[in-house]
Amino acid sequence: MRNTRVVLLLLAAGCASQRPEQEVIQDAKDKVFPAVVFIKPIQQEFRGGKMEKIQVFGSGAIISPEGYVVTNNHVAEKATEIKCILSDKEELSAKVVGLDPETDLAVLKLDLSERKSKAPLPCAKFGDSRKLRVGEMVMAMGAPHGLDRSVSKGIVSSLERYFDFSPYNLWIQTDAAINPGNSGGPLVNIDGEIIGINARGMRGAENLGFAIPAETVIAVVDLIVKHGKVSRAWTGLRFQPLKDFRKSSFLEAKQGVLVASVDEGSPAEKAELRAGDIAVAVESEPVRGMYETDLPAVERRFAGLAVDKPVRMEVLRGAETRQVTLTPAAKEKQEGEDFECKKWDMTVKEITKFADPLLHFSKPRGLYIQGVKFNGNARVSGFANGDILLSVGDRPVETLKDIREVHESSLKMERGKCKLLFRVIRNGYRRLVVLDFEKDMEHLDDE
Amino acid sequence: MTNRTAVLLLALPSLSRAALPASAQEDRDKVRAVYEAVHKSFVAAEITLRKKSRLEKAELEEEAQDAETQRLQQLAENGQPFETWGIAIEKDLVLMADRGLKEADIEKIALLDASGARFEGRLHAVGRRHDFVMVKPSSPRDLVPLAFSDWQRPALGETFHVTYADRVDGLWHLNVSPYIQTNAELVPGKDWFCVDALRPGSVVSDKAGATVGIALDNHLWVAADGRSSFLGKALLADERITNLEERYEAIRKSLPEGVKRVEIAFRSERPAERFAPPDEGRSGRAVLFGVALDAKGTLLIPELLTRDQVRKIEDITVAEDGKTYQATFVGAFKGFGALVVRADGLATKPSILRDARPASPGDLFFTALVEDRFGRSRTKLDTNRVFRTETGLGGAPRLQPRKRIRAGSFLLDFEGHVAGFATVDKKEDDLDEMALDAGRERYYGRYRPSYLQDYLRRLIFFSEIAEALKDPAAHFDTKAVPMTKKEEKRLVWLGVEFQEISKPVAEALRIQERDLTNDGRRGLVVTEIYAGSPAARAGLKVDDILLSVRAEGDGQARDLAAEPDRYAFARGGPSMRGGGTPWKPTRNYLTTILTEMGAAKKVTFERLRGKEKSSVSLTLELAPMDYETAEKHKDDALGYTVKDLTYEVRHFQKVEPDATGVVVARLESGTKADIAKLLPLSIITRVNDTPVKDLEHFKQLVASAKNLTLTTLSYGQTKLVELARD
Repeated sequence: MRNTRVVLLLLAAGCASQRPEQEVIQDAKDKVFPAVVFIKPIQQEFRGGKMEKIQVFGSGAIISPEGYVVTNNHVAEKATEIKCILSDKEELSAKVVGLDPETDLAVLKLDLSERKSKAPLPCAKFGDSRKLRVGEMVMAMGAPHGLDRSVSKGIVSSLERYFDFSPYNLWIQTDAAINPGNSGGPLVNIDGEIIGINARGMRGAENLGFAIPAETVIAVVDLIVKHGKVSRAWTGLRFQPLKDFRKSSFLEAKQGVLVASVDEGSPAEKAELRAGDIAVAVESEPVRGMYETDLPAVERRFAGLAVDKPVRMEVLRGAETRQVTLTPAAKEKQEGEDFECKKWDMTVKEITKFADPLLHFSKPRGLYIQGVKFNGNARVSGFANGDILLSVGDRPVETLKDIREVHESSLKMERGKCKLLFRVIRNGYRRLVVLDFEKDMEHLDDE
Repeated sequence: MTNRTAVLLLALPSLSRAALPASAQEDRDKVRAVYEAVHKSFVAAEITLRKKSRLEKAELEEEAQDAETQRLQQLAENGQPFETWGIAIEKDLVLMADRGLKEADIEKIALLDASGARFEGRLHAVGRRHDFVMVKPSSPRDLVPLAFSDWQRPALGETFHVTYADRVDGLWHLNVSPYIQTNAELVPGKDWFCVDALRPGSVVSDKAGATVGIALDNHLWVAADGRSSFLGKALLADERITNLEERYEAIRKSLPEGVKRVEIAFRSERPAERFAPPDEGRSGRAVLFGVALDAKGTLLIPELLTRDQVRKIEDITVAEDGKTYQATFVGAFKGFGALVVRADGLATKPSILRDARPASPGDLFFTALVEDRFGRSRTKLDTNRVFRTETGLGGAPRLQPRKRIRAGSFLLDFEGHVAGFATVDKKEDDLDEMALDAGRERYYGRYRPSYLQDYLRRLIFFSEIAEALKDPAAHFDTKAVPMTKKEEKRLVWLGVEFQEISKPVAEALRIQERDLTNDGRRGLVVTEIYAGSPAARAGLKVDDILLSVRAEGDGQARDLAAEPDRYAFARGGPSMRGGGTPWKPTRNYLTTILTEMGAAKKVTFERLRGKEKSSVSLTLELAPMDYETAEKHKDDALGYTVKDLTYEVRHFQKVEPDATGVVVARLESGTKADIAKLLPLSIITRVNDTPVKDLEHFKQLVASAKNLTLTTLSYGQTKLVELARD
């Protein structure tokens, strides 16, 4: 014993701030691992014309004694029931506090009343992801492929990953093994702090995993806990860096960000902004959008503007500098809600500008057929995925409320008369289709 | 005894009627008497056919052969002899019903006479006006010739006899069959027919038992003018043609003077055809032969070209004596398959017999099929006869030849002059088929019809089309004219998109009660109306159902009955590399019908709105340029192909009807435009912030700057694309 300590000290003295690697890792791990939970939601999946409940799994970390758990949106969305297994092997139910699909984050709350253990709830802390350096050692914790409570180790491979599907943050790339099932689990630094939430892998790649930086997670979690969701402003501006290597487009301008396009009917269109303008400053604060990696900050800036409050923008058009007043609007939801039309053997979904731009172009506010069952009434009657509903019988159909009402009354229709005339838009052109739902396809083989 | 006498069998002929109940004894006596009169003259024949070489067979297969020719072919193949018989008409001459056998086809004729003698013979002559051949024994013989009497025409119900030979188990038999005349004309005249199935070559004895003739056909007829298919005296008196080969040679020498070789180049549109090896029918070139109608190079070509094929004619040349003459298309006849071209500068001798009358049944005539073989013209000559006259398409009489004649052949009279041609009746291009095909986008033209229904085949002697030859222009199909590619693609429009009605939809719209849609089979539901179109101006509305359309001057309205829309199940979204388009093609069932009717035509639509039926009349107009016919421009350096913006693209992209710009039609991979993410099928509205007026303007704008910023619009989304030219 005496000798060991001496050895330790000696070692400590010899390599100034370095501790044996093993110890470092263990300490870091011990700070977070107990807070990691194995999440098992039952998700509603609308696919193939019907709604199915499937068991998925992911990971999460408990971040407060009240039982808040942070995980990914794609783990927790559309869940009818969520169970979490804690490190002490207790299984607790959880409910969704809020979701933010745009950053792929979600906050759950454990039902602590179900907890039997008297010990304090293990929590993990967030670290400052802005202090990360490429090459730093990190650990990923979670349940890869359902193997719960696994830890993998790697380094930070990059801090400048930009993906256009999540415009509000850059991603941490790591070579720590991240597999399906790791989603929502923490990425931990050597100080035992959560510096990222693991969310993505890359198919066909090795050692390429991606995590949402803690900086983003903290902000989003905060808003979700306070408001149940994240509200962002929408301007309709789509940005492109001044130096865009993907499109080989390089502008001379030294500051600002390029407006690549302006959405139809958007606040930016109303402000007469145009594709090609360079947004130089907002409320006198300069905008920096030289490279792709600068874009998330720009997006956050604009998303953070107050809704319905005009702001001044300085814009460069050609050689001319113009002052523009922009009044941001509230951002509509990303993904529409689904509805299963039983007996019709199809599922419909709300059209959203962001998820279904082509459908939105045909009908800005409405519903479309998300799926038809292969042997179901809808398909046999001639409906196809992507058909936008215009009317059923004489009744225009635009919202989920409309379709629910129509569907319900259809189920009461007389035998032999189960036919409805739909007007739809298919591939941009109007069409009439008659739904014949006389047969009960689901129970065809029942005795 | 058994060798020398044929066994007499009282066989009941297959179609005989029951003998009259009166004296059975009389009948038996009659049969014996007939037998005695004829049996010695029968000569059985076994004809060994020459096996054809592979090349000869290949050529035969090209022609559609009738049943009899095919049968002979089969026998030749199998090495089986053709068994038949003849009747001795002189000591040294046997008459047989003509089987269409040629000297060249025969290897050996083995004969057996009634005395049991076996000897060989060869084809000696063919009848000029009757369907028989003469076979001469190789060495002199002493056959018992048949003597013919004048006939007494059997009246209705009277019995006469027919004797034929048959080979059973290797043994030749004679059959003497009683026939009862059961035929009478509806309106009594001088013609006489017995239409029971006879075997050609059978000896005919009249009601008195006298030998009167030899059947050359499978029914007997005597025409009012005395011509017949069997009367013996006439057969014997007929001219016997012995020198066919010499005649062929003479024809081969004289024919080229009047028959010219014409080469027609067609515009071929299917990519596969452009790259196919240049063999007939594939490479877009056809070599045809025509006869001169006058001295100025006007040629008549007996070939059927559909309207679609004529429209695709690009070039016509006539080759003569090593020189090539440019020719123009004059017209294609309406009723039958023939076209007229004129070769400029070609001196011709009008060589046709304009007043050539159709050959009479039984008369021998020649056919000449001139073909192109490896750049040379080759003439195949043959003899043929008219066998009977039937009623063909449209009720007109049609001559049926004994042997099938290939369409495009010339008919020559006995002296070798061009008296007519063999072709096909021209069915009016089935507009419904064309319209349905347009919906299917299937190519349906062919350069040579490969299958001809018999009832459409037609022999035309020039006197029959005298009117058409005097004033051809009046008999031409005005819609069969060559067109440029652009002209061909130009459509006449109404300005609607539609959906075919179906039974469920008709029921759902509750228009079934009056059954105006024929149980959901006819009717086009208007689903979109193009701004500024004839439909818009005529007040048509979405959900109107168009039931039929009638052009001014047409007797009948045409039902609008389309097949289900091809687009109905296509996946949406723009295609990426210049393939399909998200907007519907403008050529569809409706526009095909309207285009055939023609621009400036007044038409009346029958229209159903709700439950009200009414008429809508309007004048058809040429459609504006569409995506297919729009001008296009390709920039090889930058990698895009753009087209003028057209109405259906504007409608689909929901831009104003007067919006300007160009559409990106195609993008080549790996080019600057591709890397800059210029989207195919997007509209370029501005170049360096200057609005694009049209394609010409676009070209100017692009040419005038090195760095280009293109403002593009697609599905409501405006985007910028930066391109730098080298």
